[in-house]
Amino acid sequence: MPNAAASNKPPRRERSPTRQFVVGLARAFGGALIFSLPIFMTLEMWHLGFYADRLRLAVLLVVMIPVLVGLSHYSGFEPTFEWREDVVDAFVAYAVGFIAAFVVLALFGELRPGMPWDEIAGKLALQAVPGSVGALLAESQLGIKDEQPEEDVENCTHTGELFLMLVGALFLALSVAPTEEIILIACRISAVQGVALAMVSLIVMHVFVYAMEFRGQASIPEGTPHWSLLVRYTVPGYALALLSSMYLLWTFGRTEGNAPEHLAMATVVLGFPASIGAAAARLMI
Amino acid sequence: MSASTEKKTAAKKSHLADIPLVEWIIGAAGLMIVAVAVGVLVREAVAGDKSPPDVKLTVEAIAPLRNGYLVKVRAENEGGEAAARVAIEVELLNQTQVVEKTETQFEYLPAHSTREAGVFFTGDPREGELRLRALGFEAP
Repeated sequence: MPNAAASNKPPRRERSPTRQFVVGLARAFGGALIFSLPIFMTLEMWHLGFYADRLRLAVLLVVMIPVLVGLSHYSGFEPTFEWREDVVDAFVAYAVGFIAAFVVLALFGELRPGMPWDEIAGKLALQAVPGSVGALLAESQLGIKDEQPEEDVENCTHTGELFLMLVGALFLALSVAPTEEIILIACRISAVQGVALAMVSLIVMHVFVYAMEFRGQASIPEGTPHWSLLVRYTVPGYALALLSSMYLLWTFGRTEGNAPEHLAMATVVLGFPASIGAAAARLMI
Repeated sequence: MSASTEKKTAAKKSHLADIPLVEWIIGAAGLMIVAVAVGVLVREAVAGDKSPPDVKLTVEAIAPLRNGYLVKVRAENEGGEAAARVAIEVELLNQTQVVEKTETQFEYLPAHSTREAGVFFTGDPREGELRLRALGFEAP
């Protein structure tokens, strides 16, 4: 189908590769701003910039590299066909994230001359992570869809689907994980409400997964039984949402000294936005 | 029953047989992770501790600073309910006389969890006796 549509398309204006790259870069900055402004303006994120464990921040930056490479493969500001290009794009996205974070934080007076280097580096590194994901998401949201190598997303494998879910979970959870509200909600609600929240997360995710089936995805043939989709996509997807939630709570130092039941509660609370992000990732990318 | 139903089930079976084993393994792993998370919460809902916040305070360490001393305090909520804004008071006693008094607070103290804080003294707390007391809390 995409091939037939492609052949009917009117011829596009020829653009030089440099111009294409510059336009892509501008979009990337736009994406970094649109997707990350809420988190650029979050008090806890500024504080975490200086008190978050340095080693955990470094781990987060490294963990995000393969995530960005994979995301660039499925989306990204340049149509990529090769892994080497994806790696380059991932680092360009990181650079965009860092620069966008620097400009915005400097404008807000969160970065001032005379601040210790350690604090500046911490704040930038932390904010660059959501910024870089936003930069890569920009293309699929702000770009012209026709320029995308659509086969990439359409013929997504099972692993690819789960990977996109992981990216969506990390991205949405990242924007709320540092806030105090996660801990507050986890302290406030009862275990029964926690279980209900987990069930609602699963149901919402499954609705998204099921809706995807109707789009006739290659990886999910029509007529696949419900329970098969549930076990192969929804449940592992929710498990990924929970794992990425727990990972982010650990990164931001929210796991220390907590009883298992409180940790499970905080994970399920953060797992709610994470699961929505995971479920919606497929529609966004 | 009918041939068409048989055909249908056969088609279903062959479709399921086409799915690689690894997808089922990942599914099983996911099921386990979700079951653990939900299991912990269900256990808490059914047999969880419902007792009010009960704060146990201990002195973790005393460190001399440039101008005075730092006393690191560890708070453990032994109760089954979470507490917010837990205010504590630390008194330095010389025999029975209160020489110095400081206070601080813990933002959140979830059930059966621990948090750390510090209070400053000008006199050496190692030469006297420290008395720690939780003053109160707010229900989160």
